[in-house]
Amino acid sequence: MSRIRMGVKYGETPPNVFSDFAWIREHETELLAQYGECNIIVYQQKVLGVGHTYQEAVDNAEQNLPTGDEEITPVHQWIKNRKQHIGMLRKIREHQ
Amino acid sequence: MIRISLQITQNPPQAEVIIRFLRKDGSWLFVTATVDTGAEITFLPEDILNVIDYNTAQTSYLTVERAGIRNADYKVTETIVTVQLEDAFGNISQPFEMPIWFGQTKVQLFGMTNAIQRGVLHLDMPSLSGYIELP
Repeated sequence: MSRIRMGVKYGETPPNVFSDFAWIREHETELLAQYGECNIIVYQQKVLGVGHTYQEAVDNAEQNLPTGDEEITPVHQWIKNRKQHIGMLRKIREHQ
Repeated sequence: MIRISLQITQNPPQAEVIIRFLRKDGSWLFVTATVDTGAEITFLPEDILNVIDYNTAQTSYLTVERAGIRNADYKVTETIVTVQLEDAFGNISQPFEMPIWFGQTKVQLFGMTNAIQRGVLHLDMPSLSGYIELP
């Protein structure tokens, strides 16, 4: 049975959620250099998994779990080169 | 009214919001999205659609054409999703429904039109602060 819990109960916010999102944002340049554009799974400021899809990243994270028996609540983020996507954002807006 | 703080950065200059989505298993998934004041609708990668709960009766499939670019059309799934907004200070909105486009994209945009209709957006880039106020 998986120890990774990507969903949380209504009203529950694991303490790592906001610090992990902030860590990804602060280290986006290094993460992009290391992994390229990808889905990334992070728990307590450590990369557990990467993949081209959400599920690939979760499956990869299963191979890199921290020691112990407890469930973990990592966050998922798509890391991307934001400057390259500015043009795409404009095109999407044109059609909305 | 509840005030949901945004994550503001100056390089690149942007504001991010954290959205909770109801998953198919009844739990909630956190997703970050860039606030886009020019977008009428939220636009997210279709991977997310595979794990969240949504009403298939309120789902439609669209082909978006890009003017002047051959073979550059892309398909999106438009559906109504139950979401909450949350911030790092423990503030969380009531669940509400909003229309979202899901497609083969790498961008995660929070289209403001729907949210603005419901509340107030405040951005103060020099002081790196901002919030959305919702009923």
